[in-house]
Amino acid sequence: MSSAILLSLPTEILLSIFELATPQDLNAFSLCSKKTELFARPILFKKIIITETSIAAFNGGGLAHLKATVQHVSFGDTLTYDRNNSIRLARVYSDSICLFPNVSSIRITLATGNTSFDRDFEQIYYRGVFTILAKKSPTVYGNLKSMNLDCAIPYGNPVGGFRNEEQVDFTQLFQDADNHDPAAGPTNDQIPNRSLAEAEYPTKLEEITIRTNLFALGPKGRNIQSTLLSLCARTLKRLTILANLENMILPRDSEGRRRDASSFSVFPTLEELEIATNDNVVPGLYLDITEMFPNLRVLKVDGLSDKKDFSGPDEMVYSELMGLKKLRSVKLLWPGPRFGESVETQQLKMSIPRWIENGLDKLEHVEFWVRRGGIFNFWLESVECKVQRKGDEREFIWGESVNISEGFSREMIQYNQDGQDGWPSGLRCHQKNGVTFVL
Amino acid sequence: MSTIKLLSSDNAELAVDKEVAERSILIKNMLEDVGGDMSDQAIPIPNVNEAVLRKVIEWCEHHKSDPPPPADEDSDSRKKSTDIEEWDQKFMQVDQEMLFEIILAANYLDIKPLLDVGCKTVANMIKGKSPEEIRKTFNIQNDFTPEEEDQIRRENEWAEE
Repeated sequence: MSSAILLSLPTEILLSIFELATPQDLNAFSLCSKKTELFARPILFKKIIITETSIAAFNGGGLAHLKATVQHVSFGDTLTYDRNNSIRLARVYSDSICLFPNVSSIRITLATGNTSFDRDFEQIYYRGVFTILAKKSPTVYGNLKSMNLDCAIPYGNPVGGFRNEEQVDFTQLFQDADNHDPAAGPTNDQIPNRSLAEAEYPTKLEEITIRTNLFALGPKGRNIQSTLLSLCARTLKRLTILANLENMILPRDSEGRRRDASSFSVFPTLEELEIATNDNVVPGLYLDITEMFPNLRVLKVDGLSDKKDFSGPDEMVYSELMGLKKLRSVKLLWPGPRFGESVETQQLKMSIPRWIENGLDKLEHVEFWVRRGGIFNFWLESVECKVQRKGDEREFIWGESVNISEGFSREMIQYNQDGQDGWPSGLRCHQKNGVTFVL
Repeated sequence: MSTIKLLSSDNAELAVDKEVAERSILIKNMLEDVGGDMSDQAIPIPNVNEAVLRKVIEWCEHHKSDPPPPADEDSDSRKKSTDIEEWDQKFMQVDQEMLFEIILAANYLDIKPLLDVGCKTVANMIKGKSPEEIRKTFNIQNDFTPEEEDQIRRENEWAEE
């Protein structure tokens, strides 16, 4: 072979080949030659990380010709212990989104801890970013389809934790955006104390990911995350939240009525829900999920084992889910107490046919998973069932219970204000498939 | 079962079951246009030579009773996966020239599932390889200076995984 016949294939075929390639493969391919670079990079740069240098490259630099191919931007370099630098960068990034006319997805990252100050910081940060986006890039912002509010505790904990804790300067975020007078000084009190107007939220989102602190969500209107969700309730198709769902759902009174039904949103278009819950799965939680998300097709629950004790071996597990008639695939916690014996596989096996009798007749896949072992030395175990339809009959194909801890890493959260070694405040766990949760 | 004849670019006449040939949307539409009766006349396939056409027919034979691909929601995830069923993997174990000829023929004859298998096969040939390995596999000449290559490598770090 004298020349590269791969590259003589029609462009449309080459593009469909590269659509199948991973970013790593596209990276390698773009490095082969000038011609491969031309094909690979427009696909590679559909999703980019914005940093001060990358913005410069796209804004009149060497990548300026690829601006229009960008569909997703992710804030880079903000996961550090320097809050003032994060604020400065958030300002630069928010200003630059208008560079990319075809962006439909944005990931706003933020370093966080788990103090009450962190919670306030989150709110002010999002408020600043949303205000700037609404003002400077109204078209792109209004057409966003996907938003990811991603908080993380940065790797490596320096002595003293976050720098400049007492002198966080928000002015950068609010200069001109909020008519803040910079001469008024940089303290937190100077942030205009107002909430975001509804017009300053994106309202056509089809996909939202919220990985903020565990207690971030609240009833409608309580904070930015909750308001965002309720404003997009009629367009949302996929929702991933790492937070205590209970906080979003209002408690019922003794007769089962919600205390304040008006602050409860229904998401009629939502098809996929992935949630991480804390360990207290209260009775009624899944009933509320059924009411809030009546058309769910996929439900995945990550978190701890359900503490609810089942009354006996004849009880059908998860009877609260029977309202989700469109459910196709579900991943649930293996019911049972947190550290003791879980419900027998036999009982799970007996429950699935009864679910189908009770109306879940679209069901194709069920997975139960559980954490076994001690507090810090634990592994994850999972058992799966495939439901195959044979005319009116169903066949249930159960796999063995397997250890799914491979590719699972955990990181101790040991944040405290003095930087002293202390009792770890939690574990943040990551899995290969992108699941993150806090124990 | 009715049989039709296909005429390759190098003038070989191949008899094929109509049902098998109709895996090609191009041929299917053509037969519909002429009212289905092509029993005495060979359909010319001017872009495909005999060897490739035989391969394509072999694939269509094997897949003649496949259900139509699901049109709706799951197609996105299906598209992204590069899994190939075993028979197709073996079928695609041919030299590169033949592989690309099959892809071009599938494109011309409008046989979407075969085109997909072809694209997946090429994508899998790239998978996990270093630039140097890819260059070797596909006989690509490196025309970058080390500085240019370095800069591209740095810029590529802005792509989000």
